Amino acid sequence: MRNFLAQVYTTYTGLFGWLNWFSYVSTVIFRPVVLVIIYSVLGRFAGSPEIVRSYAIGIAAYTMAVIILPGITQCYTYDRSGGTLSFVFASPVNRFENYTARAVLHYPNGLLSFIATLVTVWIMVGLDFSTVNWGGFIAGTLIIALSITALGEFLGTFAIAFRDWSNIQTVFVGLILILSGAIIPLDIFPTALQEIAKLLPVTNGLVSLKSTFIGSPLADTSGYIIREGLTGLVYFVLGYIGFQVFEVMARRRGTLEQETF
Amino acid sequence: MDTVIECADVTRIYSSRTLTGQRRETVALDKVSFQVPKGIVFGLLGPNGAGKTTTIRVLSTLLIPNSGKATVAGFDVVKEASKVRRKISLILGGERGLYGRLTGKENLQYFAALNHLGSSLARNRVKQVLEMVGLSSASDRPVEQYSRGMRQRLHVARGLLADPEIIFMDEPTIGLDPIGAQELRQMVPELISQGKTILLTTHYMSEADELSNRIAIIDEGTIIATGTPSEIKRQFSRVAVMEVICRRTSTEMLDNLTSITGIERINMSSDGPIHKLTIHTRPGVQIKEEVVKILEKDNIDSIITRDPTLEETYLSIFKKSE
Repeated sequence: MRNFLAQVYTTYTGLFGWLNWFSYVSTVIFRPVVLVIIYSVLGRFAGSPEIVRSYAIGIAAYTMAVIILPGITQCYTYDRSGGTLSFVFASPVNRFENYTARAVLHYPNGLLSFIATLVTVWIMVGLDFSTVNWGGFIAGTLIIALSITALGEFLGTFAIAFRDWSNIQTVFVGLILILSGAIIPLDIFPTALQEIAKLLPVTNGLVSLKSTFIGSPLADTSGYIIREGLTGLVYFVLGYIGFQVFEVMARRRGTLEQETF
Repeated sequence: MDTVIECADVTRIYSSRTLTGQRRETVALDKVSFQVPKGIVFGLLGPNGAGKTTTIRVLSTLLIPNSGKATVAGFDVVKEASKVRRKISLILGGERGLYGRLTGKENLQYFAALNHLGSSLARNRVKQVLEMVGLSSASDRPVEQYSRGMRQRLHVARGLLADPEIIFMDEPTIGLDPIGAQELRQMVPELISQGKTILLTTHYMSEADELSNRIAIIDEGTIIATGTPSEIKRQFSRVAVMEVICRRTSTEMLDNLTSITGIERINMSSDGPIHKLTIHTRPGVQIKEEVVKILEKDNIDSIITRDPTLEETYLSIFKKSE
């Protein structure tokens, strides 16, 4: 356990690009706050408290992806570009332990930005929290954050074998913004695109999040939250397979010593 | 003696594609074979791009060879990579490979965790190796504030951390100041006395000569010479060396010496009135009488012929092949 915690600490403090106060606050707090202010004020102009609520919850969930996905991807790209990944792979470290450790502290980062976002909407536009089913809402939030974290792990592992991979998270952050229902209702898209959207984190869980926010029991949307959890599990498992396969691929192709970015 | 490292016909080819999509292949190792017995320093020498680092990366499980077989501590580096990793450590030269934002101590604590060292063992070993490399007082500073030499010391500390049986050192003294380099060289015999085996690559021939029990010279991915340093010097040198200490020299004398058949190069150094001429000839050429005649007998304090140094041998091999 001590060795696992040492890896959690080091992969975060040694490889997280925003680990100084200015970068951290501006990225984890300020950026999501700006986003949610824009959208919730837009919603208010649209004249509907439902739209304000929908945007606020959608953006809050989306900001978790904005924070978690690049954080974890950096953890892989920086490790490779700094030449340290070779030493990790030349060591007898348990690969599952190392893979898991890379994600642990990015998870609470995402939750922090989620909380900052909702508090901002509460202060700025008076979002009503009086009917929230807190148990269901918190459970949904935690599961969405987990499935985003799992996607981050999945995307990050590609950097082991492929150069210039760091921007892939930008694509997925964009896809989540467009397709998850955070801003744009999912049902306006063609059916095929809707099915693809359901393979992304956030899409399923957000239905449950919006429902529990207005007081519905979690059981009403349990299918969505289970699907969100399963989505995360699939990404986590695929990521671990990728971690091992890409290590072998890098050893076969001799790409570990190549710089990346 | 037990063999702990063995390469048998190891070939490694790097493939890449040009901008126009053409496939380009570079043969980094071409059927490389050698054996390293337990408890010695094995020097792997060669010019840049010869295949030294590729060999080390194959042996440390970071590269998979295209063909051939390599074993470390009896384990296949491809099929039993995880067992190999428990027996080895890797010291690479250069500034990369460390976490700049972390302190020296934190870097070592992380690698102690990667090597499954228990809590108290990790604490003790981190302290020990920091002391060994003279970084104790800087251990709480971020590595990004370290000089190049300090980073190299930290590389060495990391290599010794898990007390491995086999240590791969790829140009370990690069970037170290003379004192640091000497300290590392003094550390090597101590590690050997503990039963460890070291595979060393270096560009410093005196270092290789001083430390290595056996040497292999690699060029363009092929081993071209192997043996003890003395054997290498005897068998593979393409020069013989004569050293003359004399009181007077002149341009005319030097011109006459240069014109002697068989002399390839003359280096002269002076210390006050004393001049030292180092004359490189082809092996087997007798020039002593002519040299004495040109420099004049009463002018010469001493004249000796000696085996070439490893550096002279190395230069004679590679200058000839250029």
